[in-house]
Amino acid sequence: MILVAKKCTVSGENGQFRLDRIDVEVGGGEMHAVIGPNGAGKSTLMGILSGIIVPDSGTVEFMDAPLGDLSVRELARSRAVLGQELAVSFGFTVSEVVAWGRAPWRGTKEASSDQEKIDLAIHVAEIEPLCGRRINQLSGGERKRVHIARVIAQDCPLMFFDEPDSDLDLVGTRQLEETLRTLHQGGRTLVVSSHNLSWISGLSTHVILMGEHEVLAAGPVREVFTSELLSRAYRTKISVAWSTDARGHDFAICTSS
Amino acid sequence: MKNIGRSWILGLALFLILLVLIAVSLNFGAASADSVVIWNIRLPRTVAAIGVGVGLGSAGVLLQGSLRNPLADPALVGVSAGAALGAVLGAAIGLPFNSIGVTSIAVITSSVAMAVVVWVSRSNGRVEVVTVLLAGIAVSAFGAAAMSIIISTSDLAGTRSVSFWTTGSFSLSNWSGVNSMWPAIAIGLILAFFLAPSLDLLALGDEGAYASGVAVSRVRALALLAAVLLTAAGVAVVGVIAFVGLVVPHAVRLVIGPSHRQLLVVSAVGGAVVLLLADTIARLALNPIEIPVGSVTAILGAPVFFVLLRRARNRQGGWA
Repeated sequence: MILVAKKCTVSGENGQFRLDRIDVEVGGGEMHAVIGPNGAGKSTLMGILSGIIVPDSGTVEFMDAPLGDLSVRELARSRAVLGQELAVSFGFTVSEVVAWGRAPWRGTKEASSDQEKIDLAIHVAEIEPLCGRRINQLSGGERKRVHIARVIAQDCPLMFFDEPDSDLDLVGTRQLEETLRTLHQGGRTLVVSSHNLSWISGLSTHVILMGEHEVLAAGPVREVFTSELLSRAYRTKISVAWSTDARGHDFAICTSS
Repeated sequence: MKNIGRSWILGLALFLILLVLIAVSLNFGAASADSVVIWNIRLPRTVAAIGVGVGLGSAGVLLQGSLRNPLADPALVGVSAGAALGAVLGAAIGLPFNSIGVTSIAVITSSVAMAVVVWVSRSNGRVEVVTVLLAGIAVSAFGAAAMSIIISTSDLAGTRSVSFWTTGSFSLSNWSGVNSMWPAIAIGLILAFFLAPSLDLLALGDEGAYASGVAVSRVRALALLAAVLLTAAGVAVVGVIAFVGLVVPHAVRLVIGPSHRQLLVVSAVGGAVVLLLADTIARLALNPIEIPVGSVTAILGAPVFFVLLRRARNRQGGWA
């Protein structure tokens, strides 16, 4: 297991929990989907797994050592995070923002391949035409792809994507899927949250299903994408049917009634 | 790469302008220009203007970058008023003006002002753009009020009045003033130079910067400390000079882009140019009457602030 969270609790306001004693395990090379209704605690879960939020109690271990033992920079060489904030202050250019992905490696041996990794990230995220522009002049979807490139350039074995598809159109989502598959096939471990159940079911190997500040179910996609579990999490009747897309990937068609 | 080339060109151009201004400012003045006058009166004044300008230009960059706030300026966020109050306090307890002792007290009170403003305007882990300015107004009003009480109940008014402190002037700058200011400015500049790459990443927001390996709280605290040192050192000698720290970084960013290392260096030189120019105007415009340099910068800077305010508000969709 590359990442293990045990009995993690995060308190919110008024004595309520944002996460209540959750356990999560992520194996190396797996691709985990984090799904659940609004307010269930997906972002908070991503936060504690990526070391951005420190749980009030419980432990998170990365490669068998406590996540909290890593310095901020060591952490940034171990895992990359795509958050939901797209705004960048001041008029930085797309190339400058992508290059920030290499900041954690400054002064290390890896820094010699900075340019190579930046170029590759720009290629994988398909943002070559945007490079000379200022990021604040771009549309939401374009900004998202710039940040995806920045996170790829960071070149970490473990990567978090918090709702990466939220600002993208149909074509953008399709490109994102290719990007995530490429990263996964390159041996990286991915944790991806999304509200697009059909899309994420076709993409991931495992699912963490959140409901009301706890993990309702976790395991391989076929075991969690069931009518019974999804209906329980979303508190509404959800039917699940399986289909296969043009490229041979199985995905679940989830409809609520 | 293009921006680095531009930084060199702009930096060198500003530096040449600075040299010309130095020559001009040393050659004009009421008194006859023998070498004693130049050495003891005009040169320290010119050097002080350069030091204060370097400090304000780079302090503006640090405040805007670390608070992610395009409207930040040492005077507008209350840091300058905190420093002025400290200088008056120091004099009230018997320390001589233009001494390291007065500067040290100014640094302390200025840090307190900074801490209060940041603490008041923090909500959900971010510092709000407008609240910073509102808190700055309150801190500045408090500082001015406390200063006028101290000055009117002591014999300090004879040398430096309340209006000396609120619209600064280089008329009382001498060599001991210069000597009291450069150590803090040097420390502030060195700190700023090392923090610059991390300030770039703060543009992603606190979470994004942290995820990219920046120790956000420490970087922000050190950047604010550097801004305090760079501001307070000058204020303790010449009083509050507003808008230089606001306008210079914006103007420089327009030409060379926002990357902080280049921005800091060029804004430091730019601040010196602007202040030396403003002081020359202050001395010559209504010759033989000298107007306070702080009013020159305010008259030129306030309209720029209005433009920036409108732009920032439009970007955030209004502040109801």
